[in-house]
Amino acid sequence: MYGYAGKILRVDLSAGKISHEPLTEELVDNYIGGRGFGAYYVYNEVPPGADPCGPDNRLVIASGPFAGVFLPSGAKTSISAKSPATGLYGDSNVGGHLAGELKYAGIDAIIVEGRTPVPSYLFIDDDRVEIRSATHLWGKGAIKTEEVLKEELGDEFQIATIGPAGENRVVFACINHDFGRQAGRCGMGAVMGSKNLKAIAVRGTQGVPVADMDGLKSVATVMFRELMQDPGLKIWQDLGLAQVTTWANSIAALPTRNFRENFYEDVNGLSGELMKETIVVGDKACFACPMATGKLCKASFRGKTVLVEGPEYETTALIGSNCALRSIEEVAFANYVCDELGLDTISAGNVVAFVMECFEKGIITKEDTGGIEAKFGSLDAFCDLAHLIARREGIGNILADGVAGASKAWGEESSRIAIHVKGLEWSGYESRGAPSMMLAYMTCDIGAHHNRAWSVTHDIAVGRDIIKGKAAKVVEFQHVRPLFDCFGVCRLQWVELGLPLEHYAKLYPVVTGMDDSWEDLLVKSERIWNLTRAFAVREREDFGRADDWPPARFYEEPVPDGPLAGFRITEDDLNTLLDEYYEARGWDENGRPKAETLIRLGLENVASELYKMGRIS
Amino acid sequence: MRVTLRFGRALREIYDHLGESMEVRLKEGATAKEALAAANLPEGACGLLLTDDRLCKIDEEVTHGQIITVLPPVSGG
Ligand code: SF4
Repeated sequence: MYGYAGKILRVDLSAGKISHEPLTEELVDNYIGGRGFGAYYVYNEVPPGADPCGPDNRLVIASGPFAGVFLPSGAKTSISAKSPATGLYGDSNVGGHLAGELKYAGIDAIIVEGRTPVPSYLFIDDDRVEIRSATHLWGKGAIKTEEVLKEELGDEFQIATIGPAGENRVVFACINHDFGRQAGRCGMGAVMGSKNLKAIAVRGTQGVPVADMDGLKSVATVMFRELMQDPGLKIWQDLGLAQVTTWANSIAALPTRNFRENFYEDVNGLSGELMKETIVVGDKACFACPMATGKLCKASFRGKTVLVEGPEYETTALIGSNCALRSIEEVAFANYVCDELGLDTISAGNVVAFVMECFEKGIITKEDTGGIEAKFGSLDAFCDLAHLIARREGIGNILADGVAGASKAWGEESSRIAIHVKGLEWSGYESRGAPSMMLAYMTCDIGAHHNRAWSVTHDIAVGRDIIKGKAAKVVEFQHVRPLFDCFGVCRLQWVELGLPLEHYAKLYPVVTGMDDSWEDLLVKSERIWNLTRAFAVREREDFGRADDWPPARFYEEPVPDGPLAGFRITEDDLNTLLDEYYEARGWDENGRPKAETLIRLGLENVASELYKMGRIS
Repeated sequence: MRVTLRFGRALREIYDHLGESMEVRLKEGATAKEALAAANLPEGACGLLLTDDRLCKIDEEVTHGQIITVLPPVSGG
């Protein structure tokens, strides 16, 4: 099999058993890799009703056919499991150097099941695989853990670790890699922590077979050349993802003060340009990436100076403007705190902003916060709350269940302003003035995340007040963008620098030897999308339209100020968006895939299982 | 005066009417924002503007013969 290492590594932590399984052609042909493998194993191996933090959950760490191969940015690893944040299928991807290293060690995916009795880490050195004690690492920060393991094992090992937040099963705990990159979303760190698995260390020395080496060289060379000649490349290398902050503000989409507003008066203090001038000390790239969007920064606070990768846009939006911090250095410091504790910065920013607004409204007081003056703009409050959350101490124990969990504890008024869908906190685009983006958040399979369908530019192009006709674009994006997560390649070269999709379509046959057209690949992506939806439908009898609904703030409150002041989206608008979306997908009016849709996509077994359960018709 | 706008590929994917570049006619003293409007681009359609290898501000005055590269807004992932 070309483009793949050919093996799945299965690790049963309860039994202490390690085994290799052949990668089957059927799996590759139907699910490609990355998140596709994740969806397949999570659907087929996690029993309905399983506790996301119990031994029955699976943690699937998977690369894809483009990872570790000579082409731009084959750097992405997808990590999937039943999410403790949503109780549904979840995944998150991370760049760096893990994906290629796994393949060089002869592994396309690791499936972790069970739970070790003592803190452990997984050691992989080509074919030598061991479950080793991690008692000396338990309790340590994620960055510190990586340092210690690199010192013990050697710098060439690629490491993925959790911090204290993962150990304590915070539902938005992330998995860290390469000192500053995270599989941030959906609480994958909590799943890893619940298995008592502190880290994975991998080194490989094998090659990846490629079907047509000359063909690969020729397509990849064109791709690299086009990237190097792109006028935007230098800006990317200079500013990284932080450049988006001022633009998001200018179009009134920058989350501000817990998404109450979408325009931040102090945005200049958070800009990418200021970041470059004041705190950036170096650039960092993932495997084979000429864009090098990672920015190493120095930041000081409370007498401590730290080196941190970031902040990129999402962190700046959610921790910066959303918590009303005023300087990019403050955001960078908070970014470091989250990385070391192992907290997803997107969810952490949401959770702290939520606390700040509840504090401002009197829903909670200093008695609840344990004396913390949780006011917007306070980096002290951010850091103190982050530490409490990661250790589940005091108010942190409530907040460790995310804004959805906390709002259950704090009542109706707070749930109106708990900004999430399905239990996953909303990422960096306030969307009252961008209906297709709103729909993308509502229907994203993992909860309120932007990366499946970033369609705000579509709203700008066709009209921000237009509702009808927008669902088709969202569906289209939801098939194209996740393909990159299946391939194991970064999508920024296409999305941001416009590298044509035809290049990726040409890469697939030369790498894998399979003759799928781009359209065939899109059908596979649609299959995966429907499988993750089917997981939700099987999981909960009452799963449906209400789970695709946004928080009340977005349809009850018009935009209060800024360029879109007075703009609003109504419940009727939201229903229109969903009606069109469900129809475009071949789902019923309650958002459940119709049997005929599942059958068309080759998911006959899934259709029959759900039909027998009475979940679909 | 005349100003040339060059469009990044990702922007051309969103706006069908854009080719690789476009020359727009503007009054003396016009800004980059007016140049974009002359190319029929709605507000918020563009991310960054580059000229002579430096960032060009949206409200900056442009000059005859200037070449501005227009990049799309970035998605951040
Ligand atoms: S663009 Fe950024 S995230 Fe993507 S591979 Fe390059 S450095 Fe990594």
